[in-house]
Amino acid sequence: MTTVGAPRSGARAVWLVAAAAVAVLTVVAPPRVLSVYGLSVAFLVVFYVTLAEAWNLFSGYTGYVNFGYAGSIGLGSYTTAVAMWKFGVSWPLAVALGGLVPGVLSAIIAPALRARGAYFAIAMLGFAESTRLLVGSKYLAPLTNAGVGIPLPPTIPLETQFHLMAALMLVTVLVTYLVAGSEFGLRLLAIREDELACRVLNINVTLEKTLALVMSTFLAGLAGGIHGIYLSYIEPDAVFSANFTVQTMVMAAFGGLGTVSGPVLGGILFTLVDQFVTAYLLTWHFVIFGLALVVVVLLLPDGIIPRLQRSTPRLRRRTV
Amino acid sequence: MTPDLVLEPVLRGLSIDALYAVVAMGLSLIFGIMRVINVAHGEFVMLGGYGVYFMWTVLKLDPLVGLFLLFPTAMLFGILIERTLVEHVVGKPEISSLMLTFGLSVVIWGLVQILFGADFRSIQYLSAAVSILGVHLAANSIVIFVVSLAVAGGVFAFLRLTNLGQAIRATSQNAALAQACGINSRMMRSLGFGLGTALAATGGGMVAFSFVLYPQVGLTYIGKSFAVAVLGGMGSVPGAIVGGFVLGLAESFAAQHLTSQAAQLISYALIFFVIMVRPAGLFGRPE
Amino acid sequence: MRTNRLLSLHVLGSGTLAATLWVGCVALSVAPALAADPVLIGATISQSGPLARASKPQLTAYQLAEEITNQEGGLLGRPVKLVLYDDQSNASNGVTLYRRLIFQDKVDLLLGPFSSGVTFAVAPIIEQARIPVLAPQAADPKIWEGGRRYLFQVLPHGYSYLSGAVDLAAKHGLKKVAIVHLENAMAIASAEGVRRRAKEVGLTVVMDESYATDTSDFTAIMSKAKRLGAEVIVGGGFINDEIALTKAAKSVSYSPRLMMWQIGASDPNFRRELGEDGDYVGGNTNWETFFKTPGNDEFVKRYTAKFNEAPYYDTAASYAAFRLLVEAVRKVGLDREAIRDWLSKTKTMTVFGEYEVNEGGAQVGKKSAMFQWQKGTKVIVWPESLKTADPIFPDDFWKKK
Repeated sequence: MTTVGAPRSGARAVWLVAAAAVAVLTVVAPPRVLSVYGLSVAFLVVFYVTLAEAWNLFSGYTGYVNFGYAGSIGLGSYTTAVAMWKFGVSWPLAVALGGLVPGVLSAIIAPALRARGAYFAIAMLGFAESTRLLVGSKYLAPLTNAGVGIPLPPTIPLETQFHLMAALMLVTVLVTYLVAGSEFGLRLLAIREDELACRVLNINVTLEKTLALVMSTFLAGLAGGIHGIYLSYIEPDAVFSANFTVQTMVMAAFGGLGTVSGPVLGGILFTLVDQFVTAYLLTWHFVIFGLALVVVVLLLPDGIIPRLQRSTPRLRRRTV
Repeated sequence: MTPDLVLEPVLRGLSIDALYAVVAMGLSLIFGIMRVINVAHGEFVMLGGYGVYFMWTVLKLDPLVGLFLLFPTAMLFGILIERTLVEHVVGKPEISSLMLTFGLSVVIWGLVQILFGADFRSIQYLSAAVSILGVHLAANSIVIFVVSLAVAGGVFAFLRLTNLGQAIRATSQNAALAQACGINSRMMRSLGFGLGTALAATGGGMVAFSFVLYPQVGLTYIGKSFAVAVLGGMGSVPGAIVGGFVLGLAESFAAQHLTSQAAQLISYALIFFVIMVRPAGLFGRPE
Repeated sequence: MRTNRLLSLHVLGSGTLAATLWVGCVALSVAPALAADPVLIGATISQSGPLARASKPQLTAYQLAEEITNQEGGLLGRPVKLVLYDDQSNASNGVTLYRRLIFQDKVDLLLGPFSSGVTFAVAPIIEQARIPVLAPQAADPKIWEGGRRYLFQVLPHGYSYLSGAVDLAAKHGLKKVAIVHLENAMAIASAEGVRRRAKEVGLTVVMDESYATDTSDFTAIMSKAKRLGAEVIVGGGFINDEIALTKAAKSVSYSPRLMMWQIGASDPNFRRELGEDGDYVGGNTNWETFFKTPGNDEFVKRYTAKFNEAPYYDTAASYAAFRLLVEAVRKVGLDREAIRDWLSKTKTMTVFGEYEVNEGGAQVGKKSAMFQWQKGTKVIVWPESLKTADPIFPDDFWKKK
C-alpha cells in the first residue's frame, strides 16, 4: 500500500494508457524529432534490441546457446530480398516470408536440440555457416545472385523502416513478457535449471524447446528482412556476419539473460556506446570494445538486471 | 578414377589435418579441464604465427627453432592469461566464458593491428614441391605433418604417462573428486590452459610458413578448430586427432572432386549432421 | 492492487528504457559540431575487418592529399579537414556512417568508401542527398548499370581488369585458361570479362571456379588447374587470397606460363612476402610510379617520404579522387550541382591517368594495364602503348634466374 496510491480501477486505466503512450511514442515520435543520422542510429538500436530480446527468448530462458543466430538473420534478409527482387513480391509480404523461412527451417533442424551445451552451440554454428556458404555459392546463384549481391531499389523511406522495426521490437518484448509470465516460460526456465527433472515430471521437453526456438528465429528473420531493406544492398558476408550472433549475445548477457528488460537495456546501451566509440576513435575503437567486454564480464557476471534484482528485494520474484 | 585422385587428396590433406588437430587438441584440452569455450584460441594461433614470423625476419631464426622457443613462451603467456582473467569465469555459465574470451580476442587482434599494421605476412620456408608417390607436395607440409605428430604424440604421452599429466586428466574428468584426492585443481587449470595455448601457438607457427598471416587470421582457424574438437568430442584429446583427419579428408576430397565452395560447405554441414546423429561428438561422453 | 503496482512498475521501467533510447540518439545527433571554418571532406575507410590491409592506402592517400591541399592554401581560402570513420569492412556500418557524415557532421564534400560492396550500399544515400561523390575504390560495373547522377567512378571498368591477360596469352599462342576467383561482386565482374574476351579470341576456359571469403587452402584448386593443363591462370580477389593462391601453385608444383591476379598482386606487400616466388606473377594495374601522368613524380616522392613505403594503384586512385574534387571546387565553388556538372562533363588527366565518365557516372576514359613482377620490379607488359618490357612466359615458373 505504500506506493501507487491512486484509486484502483482508475489507476489501472491510467497506467494502461501510459503504457500505450510509451509504445506509440517509441514507434511514431523518433522520425519527427531526430535527424536522418539520429534516426539511422535509432533504427540500429531497435534492430539490436529486437535481436537481443528474440535471442534471449530462446537462449536466455532455456540456457541453450544459439551460436548460429546470424544464420536466421541472414536467411531473413535473403528471403525478403529475393522475394522482392526476383519475384516482385510486395515488401510487407516479403518481410513476413523473411520470418517464415528461418522459423520453419529451425523447426526442421530441431533434432539438434538433443545435443547440449557446447555441442548444441557448435551444431548451430555449423548450420549458420552452411547456410551462408550455400546462399553465397554458385549452386544457388540463379536464385540468390551469389557473390554479386542483390541491390534493392531504395523505395521504402527510412521513416517507414524505423516504424516497422520499432513495432517489431515492441511485439518481441511483449511476446517475451507474456512468455516469461506464463507456464510455458516457467517450463523453459525449468529446462534451463534441470532438464532431466523436467523429463521425469513428464514435460515434453523437446516440444517446449522447439517452440521457443521457432519463435526466436521467426522474430530474428523478420528483423533480418527489415534490416535488408535498410541496407538496400544484400551480400552474403554482410548479412550472415557472425558479428550479429556475438553482438546479440553480448547485449543480452550484459543486460541479464532470462529477464525481459535485460536484453532491452543491453541492446540500447551497447548499440549507442558502439556507435559513439566508432564515431570518435578511428583506430582504437575495437580495443576499447574488447576491454569493455572483459571488464563487464568480470564485474557484472550475471548482467545488470539480475544484479539489480539481488540488491532490490522488491524486484525479486517479478517478471522484469 | 585413377589412383592418384584418391592418393592425392589424402596426402595433401594430411598436413593441414594434422595442423588442425594440434590446434583443436588445445581447444579440447582447455574445454575438458575448465569447461570454458575459448573463443580467443584463434588469436593464440595468430600470435604464434607472428612470433615465428618475427623470430625469422628480425632474429633470423629458422622457423623450426622458432617453434621450439615458442612452445614454452606461449605456455607462460597462457598461464598468465588464465591466472588473471579466465580463472574468474570457471564454473560460471557458458555465456560468461564466451563473452570474456571474445573480448580478449578482440583486444589481442586489435593491439596486433595497431602495433604491426594490417599487412599480410608469410614466410617462404621449404616452399618448393617434392614428389611423394607421384604426388607433388610442398616440402614444408611434410615438416608440418611431422612436427604436428611429434607435438600431439608428446602431449598425449605426457597426459597418459606422467603423474602431472594424469593429475590434469583427473581434474578434467572430475574436478571435485580430484581436489579431494589432493590434486591442486587450480594449478591444473593453469597448466591445462597454458598447454592449450602452447598447442594453438604451435599451430600458428606452422601457419606462418604454410599460409598467410594478418591480425584477424584467427577467425579462419577458430571455426575449423571448433569443428574438429566437437567432432571428436570436446575434452577428448585423441578425439581431436581423429576429428581433424575426418574433417580434413572430407574437405580435401570435396575440394578435389567437387569445388572449393562445396568443400567449405561440406565441412560445416558435417559438423551439424554429426551432432544431430551423435549429440556428444564421435568420441565424447554425454554430459 | 498488486497488478496495478506491477503494471506501474513496468510502465515506468519501459518508459525509462524508451527515454534512454531517445536521449542517446539525440545526444549522438547533437554532438558538438566542428568549427565552421574548415571545408570538411568526409569518407569511410575499412580500418578493421577483412579489408583492413587492402583499404590502408586509401587512408594514407587521403591524408597526403589533405596535407598538400592545405599547403597550397586550402580551398576557397579555407583549410580542408578530413572526417573519416571506420566502416569495419561492413556495408551496414557504411550506411549509418555516410548518414552521419551528411546529416550530422554536415560535411561540405564527400569521397567514396572502400570496396565495391560498401559503395553499392551507400550509393542510394548519396543519390538521395544529392551530393557529388567520386568513388575511388569501386570497380564493379554493376553499381553504375542503372546510371547514377551523383556517383562517379574513378577506377576502370571491372570487366577489363584481366581481359588484357587473355590478349597476351592469345598473342603468345597459349590455348587453355583457368579462372579461379573470389565469390564477390568485383571478382565476378573481372572473371566475366575474361570469359567474354576468351571467347572472342578463341581461348578455351578449362576451369572456372570461385571460392568463399574465408578459404585458406588452395592446393586442391591448383592441383586441379595443373591436371587440366591450364597454361594461363587468372582471377584472385584481394591480396591475401592472391598470396595464398600463388603459394599453393608452387606447393603442388604447378607451372603455368602466365599467372595474373586482379588486385593484390600489384601491392608491394605481395612481392615482399612472397620473395622470389612472386616473380613472373602479374596482374592488373591501373597505375605505376613510373607513369608519365601530370604531377606523378611529385606525388610518389611526397608519398614515399611521408609514409616510408611505395604507393600503388589504389593509393594513386584515392589521391587523384581527392585532388580532382579539390580542382572542381576551385573551378566552380562549393555548389553541389555545379560540382556535379563539372565532374560529369570534364575530361582530364590526373595523377592516376585519364578521367572521363559517361552520363551515368561510369568511367570510360581510364583503361587497365597488365604488369608482371620481373626480378622484384614491376614492368608493364600490356598494352603496347604503355609497355616497358616484354612479358616472360617461363617454362618453369618456380625456377628464377
